[in-house]
Amino acid sequence: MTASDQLDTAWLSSLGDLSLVAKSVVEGFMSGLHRSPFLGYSTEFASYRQYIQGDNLKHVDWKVWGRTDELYVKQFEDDTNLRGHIFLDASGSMNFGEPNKFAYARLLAAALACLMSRQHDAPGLTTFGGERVETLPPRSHRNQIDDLLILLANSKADGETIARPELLQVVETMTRRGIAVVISDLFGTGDDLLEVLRKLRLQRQEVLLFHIVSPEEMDFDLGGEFLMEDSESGEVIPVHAASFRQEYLKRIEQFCGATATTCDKLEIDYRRLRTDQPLEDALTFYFEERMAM
Amino acid sequence: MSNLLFNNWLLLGGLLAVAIPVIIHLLLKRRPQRLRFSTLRFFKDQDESAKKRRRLRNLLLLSLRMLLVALLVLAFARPYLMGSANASGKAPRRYVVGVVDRSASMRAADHWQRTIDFLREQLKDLTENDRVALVACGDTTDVLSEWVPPGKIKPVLDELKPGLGGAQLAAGLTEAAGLVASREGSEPATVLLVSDLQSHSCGGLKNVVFSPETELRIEAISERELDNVSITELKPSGPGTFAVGFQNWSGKSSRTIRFDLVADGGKPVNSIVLLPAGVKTNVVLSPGNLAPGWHQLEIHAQSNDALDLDDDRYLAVNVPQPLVVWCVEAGHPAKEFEQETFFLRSALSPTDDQTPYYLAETVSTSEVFGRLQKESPALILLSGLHVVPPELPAALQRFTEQGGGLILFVGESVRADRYNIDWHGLLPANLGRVAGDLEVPEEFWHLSPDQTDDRLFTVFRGSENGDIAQPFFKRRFELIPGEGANVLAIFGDGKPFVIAKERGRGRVVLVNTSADTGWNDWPKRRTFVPWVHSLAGFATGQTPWLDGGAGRAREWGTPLVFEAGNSLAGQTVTVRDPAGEISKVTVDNTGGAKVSPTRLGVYSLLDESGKVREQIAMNLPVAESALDFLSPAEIQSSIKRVQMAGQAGAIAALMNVGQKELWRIILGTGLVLLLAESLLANRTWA
Repeated sequence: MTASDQLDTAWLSSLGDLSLVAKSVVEGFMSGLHRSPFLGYSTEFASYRQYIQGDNLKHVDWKVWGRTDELYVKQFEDDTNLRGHIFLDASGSMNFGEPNKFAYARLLAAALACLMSRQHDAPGLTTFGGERVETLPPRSHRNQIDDLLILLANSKADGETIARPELLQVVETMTRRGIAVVISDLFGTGDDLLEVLRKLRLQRQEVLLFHIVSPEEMDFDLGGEFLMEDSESGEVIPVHAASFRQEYLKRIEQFCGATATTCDKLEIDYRRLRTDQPLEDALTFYFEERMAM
Repeated sequence: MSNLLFNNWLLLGGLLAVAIPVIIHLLLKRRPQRLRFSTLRFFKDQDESAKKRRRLRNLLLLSLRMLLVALLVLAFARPYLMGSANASGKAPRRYVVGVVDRSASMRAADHWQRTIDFLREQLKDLTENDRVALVACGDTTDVLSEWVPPGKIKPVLDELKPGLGGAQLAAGLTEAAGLVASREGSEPATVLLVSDLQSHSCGGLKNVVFSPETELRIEAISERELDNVSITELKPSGPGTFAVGFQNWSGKSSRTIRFDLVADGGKPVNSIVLLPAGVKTNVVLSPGNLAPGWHQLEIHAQSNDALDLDDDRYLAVNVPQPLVVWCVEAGHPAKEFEQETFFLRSALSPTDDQTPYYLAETVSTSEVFGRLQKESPALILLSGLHVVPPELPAALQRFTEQGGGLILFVGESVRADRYNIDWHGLLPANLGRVAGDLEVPEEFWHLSPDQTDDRLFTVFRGSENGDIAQPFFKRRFELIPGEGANVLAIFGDGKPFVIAKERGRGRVVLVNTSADTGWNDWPKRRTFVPWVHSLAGFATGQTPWLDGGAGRAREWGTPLVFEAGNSLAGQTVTVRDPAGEISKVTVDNTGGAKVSPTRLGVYSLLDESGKVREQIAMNLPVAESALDFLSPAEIQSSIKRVQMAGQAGAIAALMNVGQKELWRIILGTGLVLLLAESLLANRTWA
């Protein structure tokens, strides 16, 4: 299955399709199960460590205590110990481009959720845009992925990109260490989204930022004079596209560069994704980051 | 200097097509398309200067496209430059014909100096490669120089002087057109007319034909109307008197002119005349008694105006020997004034100090026959005779047949039946009964003011010269004109007053009234003297004050020919000019000695002994005093522009010389502009 096949908007328009495609993407991507990098109290032994007060006595290896007279606790590989929270930008600016940025982002979110679920991580989802903030907290429940896909399927991209209090509240509830995947074009007013990213970092979340851009935005291959209408605010500006193209490309590169620099400072993994780019690139990126955790 | 001309003027109407790019621009102008975009954050704070540059570019594009259309139209109109560089890059030869007005009026003010200065300036603009010709318009039109380099014209200009006659600019321009046609090259020629454009010099311009390619430049030397007073006339006005005509040509200012009349260089007769603006008048003067023979009269006015030449005028007058007149009386009254012919005799010699054109004497009827055998008077006046000597009619008949003049008066003493018998064959009319009663004061006749034959009344033309209807006549005969007789004057009721008949070489005139005041009161009227002179002139066939005494004068430009006589044909005669210079002139076959005048004044033909045989005065043409002028535009519009036969080849040659270059250049420029337009239109500016 090619990227273009995956990104067919008509194909993605139904819930079943989204689920199927997301799972297919993940199946195609994964060649096998990976092990959780986080050690927990699972069934497969990993190593020992010295007992510290508070450890469950159930995990003390008494045989070792008998031989060495020291208390050691058994450590096991834990494959379900990560909360993966996906933040999907559903603002009006995402509903743009060919392929559509929101469709692309939604599929990416679905694929990531499937990937998380398959890895026994607890996927969660928050969509935000305009006045709406809809969230599905991360859970390991077996129906979680279905609920998440339903939420995704019902989401629409409109309204302004605003860090509403509800969104910040979701972030503030993320007390357990986990991974936060933010999917957005970052075209909001002011630094609202940056503030969200900063708070996520403060909440000890490993943050992956997928910066979704469309070919039209990056190439700006237009000619003639246009009345450009802002997809979020409805503001109109006359633009002579051909004559402004160089300046535009310069400005958007500056914007992307500045965003990447900011992310670097906040130790956020930044990835810019063009919607004409295969989703595997994004999944690979996620997987690499996930393995590094 | 070059002028932009077009072969196809009408195509210039296509310049309206420059509106096409504007119309297309307006028709195709679209509203910007509305496009929804993810964010406008990158479009804010656009560079305003870019917008200005874009607008400037659009304006440039529009201008370029309009210019392209205009150039295309201009190229089709086939423009060419008169006098432009030709294809070889060498300056084309210029042909200039100078037509110089050297009429006498060019002497007014500083006209001539300005003319010469202007021509010299024009020569400075020419190169030795150019060719110049020079035509002078005076009383004759002369080609002073055909096509020569400008340097060779300068000496000709140095020698050129204004003339004393008029000019016909049409003749000069026609000569110039001929020179243009005869030039070697095919380059356009310029005719340069330098003149004061005096109105009377501009006659016949409609007959001048120029080719359309020939440029006519007119340098008007007189740019304003100048004050000028001139003496327009000097002529005898009567016995011993001369009329001097003055005219103030200015339409604005009045002038008081002092002038002198000089006869034979003697003591001048001074006078003053007031001349309101635009007025023409005559002043009658007498220079004193002039003896029979040739005299030269000069008038000199002190006008201090624009033209000095017309302040002098000359006249040569030949005062003839007086004509002998016999006034025949029936008797010899003791007192002269009691004679019937007293008034007639007095009228023929009015004053003692004036030139006597007639020498009248009283002769009795008994003396006439005897004296006629030995003498031959010019005129015999017969008062009303009661008794006619029997031998007298035959003697008078012979006298008239030999050329003598006879005037018969009637009167109370005349008996019609005797007269008709005694003068049979001599009288031009038969006498009928006498009409009128001396005792009835209310019954009288006047002469008709509308005389059908004015041979006797020429001097009364004009209202100021006397009214012949004023005298009254109380008695008259009823006359029946004879065969071959002419009624010369009539009464107010149409009855004959004067009847004349040719007899041999002479004339017999019958006057139907008395010679004295018996039947009329005419001798008391001021018209009597001129009337008697007219009557005597008609009867004798000689009018000394109009013929020999009329003087001889010519205006410059008319032939000056002395009547030397056929006997001198082929021989040389001596002529003295006004400055006293003597020259020899050969008499032609007709007996005329033609002189080429060099100055104004009186020319004299001398006999072998150096005595004056004949004189003729040469004057400035009166028309030269009129300094009114036409405008150059009027001259230009009068000239016809016709394509000359054989000039088509010349025009084609012109096309090859330089005219094509212009449209090629224009098309080349258009192509360059088209390239620039393409580059500009396809360039995207930030």
